[in-house]
Amino acid sequence: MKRIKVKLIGKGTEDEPFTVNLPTWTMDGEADYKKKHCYVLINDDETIEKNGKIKINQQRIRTKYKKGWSKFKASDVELEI
Amino acid sequence: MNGRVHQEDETKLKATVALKAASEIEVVQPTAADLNATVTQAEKDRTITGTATVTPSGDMARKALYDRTSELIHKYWSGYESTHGVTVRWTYTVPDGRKAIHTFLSGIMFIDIATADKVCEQTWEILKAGGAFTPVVQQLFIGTDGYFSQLINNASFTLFAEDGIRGVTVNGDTTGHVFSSSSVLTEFDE
Repeated sequence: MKRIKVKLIGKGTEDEPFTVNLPTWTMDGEADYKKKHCYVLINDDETIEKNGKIKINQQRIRTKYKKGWSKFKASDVELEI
Repeated sequence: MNGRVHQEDETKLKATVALKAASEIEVVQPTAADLNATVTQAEKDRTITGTATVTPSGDMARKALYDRTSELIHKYWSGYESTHGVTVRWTYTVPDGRKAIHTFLSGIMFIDIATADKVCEQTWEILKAGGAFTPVVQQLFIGTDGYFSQLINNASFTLFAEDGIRGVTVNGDTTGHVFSSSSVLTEFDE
């Protein structure tokens, strides 16, 4: 598992809960509801190392989950640590 | 003695007859016309009748679950948080070409102070491909009726490609509570 910093979306309601726009992930620790971010753990194969930093492997997620995730954009989710 | 000699003679005689019969077999060599013959349209269109030989299809030859590159996945989140809105703690989505059997492992919520009229709950929600997440289990709840715990359905079930499941917490109380949700998924090839 790899740990990355991501955007927290949603309003905290039943219809729009605070969540992360990734197919498979686990929150690592607590979320920062004010700054709207959190750390998550994702599968190793869904990450890629660029310039010594762990990033989301956008292409892997698109091909691994297909259909609903075929237009997934990593830039909409990940944040710089 | 005489009988045995007679029997040997008879055996030799039968062998001789058999050899003669074999020598009379006519071997027909294909003619040049046969070799150069072309298949007519009528022969091409001919329907072959009779019993077909069936080989096992892919389904019949399907491997057992444990041979389908199965993988055990544990989704778990635990934390102590005070007031927070409805928050997804983990999500699992079945990859393309895979299935997954979901099993509830545990769901725990410790109440530091038994405060009524505050919604505080932990749920599991399921997503059918192309749809929206809906609760499958609502567990450990404080509401206007006081504290109670419920587990609507803890049976295992199968998720298909693109289906998802997630663990959710919410704390409307003014004090912190410990939450813990845990699920196991056995993922395997379709």
